[in-house]
Amino acid sequence: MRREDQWRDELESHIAMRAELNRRQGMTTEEARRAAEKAFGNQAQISEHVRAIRVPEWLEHLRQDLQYAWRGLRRSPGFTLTVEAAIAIGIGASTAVFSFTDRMLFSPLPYAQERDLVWLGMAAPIWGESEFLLSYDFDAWRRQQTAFTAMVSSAGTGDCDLMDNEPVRLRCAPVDPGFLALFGLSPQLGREFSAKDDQPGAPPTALIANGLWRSRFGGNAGVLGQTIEIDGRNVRVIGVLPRDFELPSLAQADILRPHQRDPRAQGNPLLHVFARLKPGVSLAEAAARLEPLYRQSLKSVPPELVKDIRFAIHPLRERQIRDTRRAAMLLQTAVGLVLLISIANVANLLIARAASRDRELAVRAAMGAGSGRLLRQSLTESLLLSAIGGAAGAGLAAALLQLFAATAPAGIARLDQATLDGRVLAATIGASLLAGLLFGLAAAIQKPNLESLTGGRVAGPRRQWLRPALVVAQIALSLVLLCGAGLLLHSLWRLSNVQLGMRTESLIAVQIQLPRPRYPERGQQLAFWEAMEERLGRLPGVSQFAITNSLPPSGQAMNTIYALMEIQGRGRAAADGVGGMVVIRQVTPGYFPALQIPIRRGREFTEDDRRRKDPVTILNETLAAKLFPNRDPIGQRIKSGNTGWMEVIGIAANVRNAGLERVPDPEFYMVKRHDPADGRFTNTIVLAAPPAIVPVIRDEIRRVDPRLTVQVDTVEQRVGKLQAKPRFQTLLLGGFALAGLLLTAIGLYGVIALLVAQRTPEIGIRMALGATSADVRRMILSQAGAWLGAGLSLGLMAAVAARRLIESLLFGTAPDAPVPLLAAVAALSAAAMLAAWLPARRAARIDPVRALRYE
Amino acid sequence: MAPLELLILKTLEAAPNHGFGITLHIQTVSGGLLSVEEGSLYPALHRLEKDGLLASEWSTTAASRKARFYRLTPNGRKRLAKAREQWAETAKGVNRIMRFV
Repeated sequence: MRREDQWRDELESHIAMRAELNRRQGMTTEEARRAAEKAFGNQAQISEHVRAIRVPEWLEHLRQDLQYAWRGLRRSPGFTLTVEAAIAIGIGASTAVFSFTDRMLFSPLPYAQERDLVWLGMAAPIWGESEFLLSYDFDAWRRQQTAFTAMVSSAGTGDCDLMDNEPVRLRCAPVDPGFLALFGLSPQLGREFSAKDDQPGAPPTALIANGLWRSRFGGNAGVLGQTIEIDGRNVRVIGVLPRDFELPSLAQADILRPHQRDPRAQGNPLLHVFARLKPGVSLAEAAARLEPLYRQSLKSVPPELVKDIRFAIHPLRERQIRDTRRAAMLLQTAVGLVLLISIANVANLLIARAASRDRELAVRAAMGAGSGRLLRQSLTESLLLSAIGGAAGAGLAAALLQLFAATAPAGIARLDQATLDGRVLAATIGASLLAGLLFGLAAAIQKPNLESLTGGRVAGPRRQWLRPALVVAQIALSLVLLCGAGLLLHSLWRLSNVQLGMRTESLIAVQIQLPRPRYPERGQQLAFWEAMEERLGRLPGVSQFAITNSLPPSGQAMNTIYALMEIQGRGRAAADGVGGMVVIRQVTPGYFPALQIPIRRGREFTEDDRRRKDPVTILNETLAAKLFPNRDPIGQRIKSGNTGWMEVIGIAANVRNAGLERVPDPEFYMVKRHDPADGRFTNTIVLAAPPAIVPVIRDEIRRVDPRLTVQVDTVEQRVGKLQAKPRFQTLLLGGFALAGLLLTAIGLYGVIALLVAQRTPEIGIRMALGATSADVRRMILSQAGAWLGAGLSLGLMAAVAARRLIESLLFGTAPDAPVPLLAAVAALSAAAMLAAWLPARRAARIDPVRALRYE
Repeated sequence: MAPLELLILKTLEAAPNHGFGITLHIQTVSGGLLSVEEGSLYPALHRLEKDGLLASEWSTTAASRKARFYRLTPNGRKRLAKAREQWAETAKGVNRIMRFV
């Protein structure tokens, strides 16, 4: 304080001058100084007066309270640190989680009047959980609908390669003209696509994302009208997207292009469809108005499929957060529990402290401090604690958010945009302040008991129920958290131990997509892949080599509907509805040995099969059992779509082919023939080889085509990516559970330690009367055990009640699986008993003589 | 206005001075009759400053020691003039009473 310093200087200069005078009058230096100080009288008292003149009274009282509180906190650093840690953990964790779940679930979308925006389409299990319209239907609906001011579509985003000195793989999304306008957006620079740009055969144009514009084109406006090469085609940049632009499907897109769909051309691509409701038209009404169009579209759907298809229309926001809502709610619940535990903990510690300060407060009361002043004193202390804890919590929250963003897997909507939310921080600090106030009040409201000044033990049942109740509640909440974490951990363990049915070690996967414009003919494509086979297959160090159009266990593969499969002589496969999906994989003969997929019956593909006129196929066990439940499949002929009749030559063991979490789908393999008809744009090359060979592989590919972008991973990495999301969820929940456990243990320790302190005389008497150390220890531990028991039973009930929340996030683990639950109970019991054991040991060492002397 | 405050203002009328200087001055001028206790001097000085009758700044004494110098503000001067009158009146009254008794 500056003012304080000034006063001290002034005082000092006065004393010095007086001492100087004294000295000149003949005193020794020391005498002179002492006399000068004496002349000044009671310095502290004068300082008090001077200060009182300078500052208003209430401020002065606040200062005193704060100073007193601060001194109090400094006096018991253990208590202070514990409380601050509890507050900081509670506030920090909950602020971080609420900041990003809030951004995910509630923040406004970057579109104008987002409430009127809808995502609609036909949904079918076979398309995953997304809604689509076939482009043919979309055109018809758009012409005839009356519910929307506008309807636009976007095809899914796909890889595309930007070629220049440094080729880079980007994500491109084809959209309709007027796409931005529907969302109330306009390009930051340039213009949107016009109907003319969308004409088939029109000169190619593109809108580029703001990030790409800044990183690749230096944020230069000169990019407009510039020509860039995408997938080998020259494309003119006509605009730059706004900075916060995101596709309504939340897919990443670096470049938007017009569809340029030709209605006469073959193919009927699937489109995401978005629309804006007309003013006054409700969602239900829009659905009703679209019903006839939907019925119309159903007519062209194969009858087997109709049963599985439904019409879906959702507000855009609701649809966007559908996938993350469950996980977000789980996290919010978890962090809410941590907050509750930490508040209970703080309350408990405050009450415990108040109880131990009875004597001190009584002294102050006896010295004339008014009860209002004492109350205010106690509140000031709680508030000071909360404020410091809150500040630490804010820091912790910021750090946690960064940690989340750094460790989170891709695909969690808007996590990267999460920032420390001021409102959330205010709310959590408010909650802890309120808790501080309430419990400070609870602790202070009791008039200090002057009797405690006598030094005798104060009897009475005050507040005896509140603290045990808080401890029991903490144990219960903590158990709920631990159960959740245990279940997720168990599920993750199961997930990482899934039997894939194939090998993943020392396998390298090279994914290559050929740019359409440079490889327009299937013959050219085939030639490229055969060149790869020629070069890479013979590299020294490569022990196995295969080319496949897709690689398990990711569910992304070519597929068909079971109901469309035919068996020669028996017609369509019998199915209820569509009968689910069947994976189709086109592979070279090296595939089965490279992935070590066993052939159960029949034989593998051979080089000869690649030249045969009549196609052959290998079924997986599931498909074989489904198509031929009581017949030998080998030698039978089957067909699917335009494959022609294929002879079944073998049965391969099942492989996880629909992601890690689902049982394998039926699947059949076809062989890649030396036939231009089998040329493809995209393939994955699988090599059994040491990782050191990767640069050589890249060189070889560059020698064939220097302008390709190539993605090289180990197969293990690819499988690992599929576990990223569950791992992240488990990590978060596990962290919270650990924090909760720690807080609970601290709380229990604090309460038991205080209990021991308060009962010291009683324990002394017991020991004087013959109780052994073991008896005392048992007495304290059984008290803790009773609380633990109560907390565990309450917690188990709560955990069972809350299990539905976590069910959808589990894999291979039932939400009431006994092992994780028992593990949670065991962990909590161990922590609690350890927390109780330390003070119990202290109690057992009490010296009866010393204990009784206090009486 | 309390006598001490009047004495302070009067002392500072001649020239700015620091707290110790004021005590010395009062002691000397009153021929040792009046001695000012530090315990009352400083609260008085600070009160006068807060009321805007004095201003203060740090400066060095003739013996080149740092000290806080107080001086009269225009308000302080006015107040001194008024207080002097009042004091004269009061003193006159007191004198009369003393004589009368």
